Amino acid sequence: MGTVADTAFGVAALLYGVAGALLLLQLSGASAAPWVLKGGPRALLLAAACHLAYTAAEWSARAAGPFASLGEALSSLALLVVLAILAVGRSERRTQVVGAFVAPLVVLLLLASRVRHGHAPPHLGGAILVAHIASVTVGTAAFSVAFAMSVAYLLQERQVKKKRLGGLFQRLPSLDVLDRVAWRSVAVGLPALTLGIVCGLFVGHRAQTSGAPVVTWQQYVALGAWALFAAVLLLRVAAGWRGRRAALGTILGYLGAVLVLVGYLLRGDAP
Amino acid sequence: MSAVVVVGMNHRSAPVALREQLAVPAEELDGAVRDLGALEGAREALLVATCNRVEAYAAGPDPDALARSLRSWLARRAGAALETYLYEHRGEGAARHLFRVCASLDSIVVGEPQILGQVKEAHAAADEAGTLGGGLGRLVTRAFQVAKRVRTETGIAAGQVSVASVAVDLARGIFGELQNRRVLVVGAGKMALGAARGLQRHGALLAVCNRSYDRALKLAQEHGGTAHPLTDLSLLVQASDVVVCSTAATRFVLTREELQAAMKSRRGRALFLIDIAVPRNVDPRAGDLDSVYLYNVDDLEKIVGEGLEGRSVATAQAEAVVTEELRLWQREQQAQGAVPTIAALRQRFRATAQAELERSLVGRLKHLGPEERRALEAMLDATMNKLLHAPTMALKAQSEGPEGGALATATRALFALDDAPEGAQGSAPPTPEARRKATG
Repeated sequence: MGTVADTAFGVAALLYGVAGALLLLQLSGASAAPWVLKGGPRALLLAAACHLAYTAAEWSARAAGPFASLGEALSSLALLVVLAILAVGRSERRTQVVGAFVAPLVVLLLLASRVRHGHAPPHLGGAILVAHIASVTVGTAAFSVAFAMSVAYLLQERQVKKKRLGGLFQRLPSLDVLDRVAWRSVAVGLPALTLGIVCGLFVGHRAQTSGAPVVTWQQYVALGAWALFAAVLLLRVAAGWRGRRAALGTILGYLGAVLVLVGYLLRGDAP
Repeated sequence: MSAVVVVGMNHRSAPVALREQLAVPAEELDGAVRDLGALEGAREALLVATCNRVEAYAAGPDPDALARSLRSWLARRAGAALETYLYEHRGEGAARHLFRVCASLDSIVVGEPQILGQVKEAHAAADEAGTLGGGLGRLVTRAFQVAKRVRTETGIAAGQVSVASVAVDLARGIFGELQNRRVLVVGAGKMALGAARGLQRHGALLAVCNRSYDRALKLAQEHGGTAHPLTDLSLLVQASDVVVCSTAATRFVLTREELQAAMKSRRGRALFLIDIAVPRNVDPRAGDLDSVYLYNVDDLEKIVGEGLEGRSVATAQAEAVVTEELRLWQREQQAQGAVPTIAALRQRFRATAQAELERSLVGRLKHLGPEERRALEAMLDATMNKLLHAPTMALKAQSEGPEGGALATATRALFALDDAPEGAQGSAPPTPEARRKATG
């Protein structure tokens, strides 16, 4: 890997850490200094720019797209999550502070991407695999945003129910905004995940050389997560399940998705 | 030296009926402050006129005469005797008062930000009218800095202050923007309408529901909303985002079961219930329902109380900042106060040396050429500066202490600085050079 990419990677990881720390300081109310309030979102933006530079450098050096393998996909996932948080923060008040919940995840994803750095096995390559990885990555990024908003929702709702209008209540976005952004994120993530699962079935079929198809536990959990996200959407439309129930469903679904991801990371033969 | 004097009245000292007689419309502020600045003995002037206070500030050499002038000026403007309603502060007291006013410590709602803007407008008008100088003008600028420091370093601007503001804060925490949110007032309580009006100011739409439809109609017309009979309550709750209850009913107007049914129709949309009535209008068990946020009068007053409690700590911190800034201001003023004495002392030494030199140059030293004469003058200057260095430093240092004026008074007496110099026709003011050396 070139020096430029290495440097951009290191700076991005460092800045994500700094952004996470500053946003956490802001969210916890430990500091209301102007440099903390402005520093968090700015560090996040700068980190995303470095991350983007790293992705571009990698792409040109290795001629491998951002979804060529699990390593690249993890890095792209981290970048997509941050870009989504930044984009939402531009239109909805105070949502950037929710970045405090995703910053640690982003740093972990970025570091994990270096561990699983490499190409997909040649026999699994092809457009269908790239489509599978890309869809699952986009879906997981959307669910990551939904997860962060849902956690913030539960925290904020607790403040309102317990009648505590202190600092956390003032710093978090309104319940309506958190619920709306979480719902829209799930609405974006679910079709992407659906496409990813379908493509994954094709990839699995291609990889299966002989005998009966082998179904792994990750696939069961992935289907469970998909079902939970689908239920969150369906019940909202059909039965008005929103707010706390939707937030809990989203968090559970996301934990399932993370479990699947960790399972694949621990598997040695994943592309 | 000029002293600052303020004479005025505020929400505590005078009723609104009297304050409104002294009201100064914005377009008349320039003329009024010019008029104030033209008072006898006033070298500088500032007029702060808001709905809660009218204060005339002036600076001049005779504080007693100035205070009398300010009182009669205000009485003339009001066209009435104001003596028992006016307060007066001078010197340090006036500085403290202005610092407190700008820091919003003297406001009805402590910490409100409008007063600083109003004093800034008064400052701009006085500046435009040319009635501010190095005394009062500097004090006002310093008061702005004090206000900024108070707002930055204390929590005086934060916290809740009224039921209406708590209601707005909560509604925004639940719904975000309140534009076009529907607020339903059940009953006709003043506090409920106050809370609803607070929400209305943020763009919410108001509906009033009352046992007496005529009363509902009257309130709706007064406050720009729609009127509904109490029989429509269930339907109205389904369509509303915020419901404020304050009826005189002795039973629950909204039961848990009714609200549970309403939430089904609302398809889970959040409902914020404010129950200000005593006895309560809303079944307290409704607060357990998903997406229902119920606050009763005790909850609201507790939050208001917490805000005020937090504010009282912040107020004490703000008062401490004001006291500290006032001490700094006084030290600076005292240091400035030594300047005329030092300048006069230098002038006296210079004049004496110059007179002696001239006498010698026409007498025993008349044979000296121009070069020798210049050398002699330079030697005298250097000797005088060295001799005056220690007294100058002592005067400056002492002037910043509590006994600041004593040494200056002693110096003036010892060297008869207030008398005309020997051989002079009058007490000439210090030369610019002497003043520069004194301040440097």
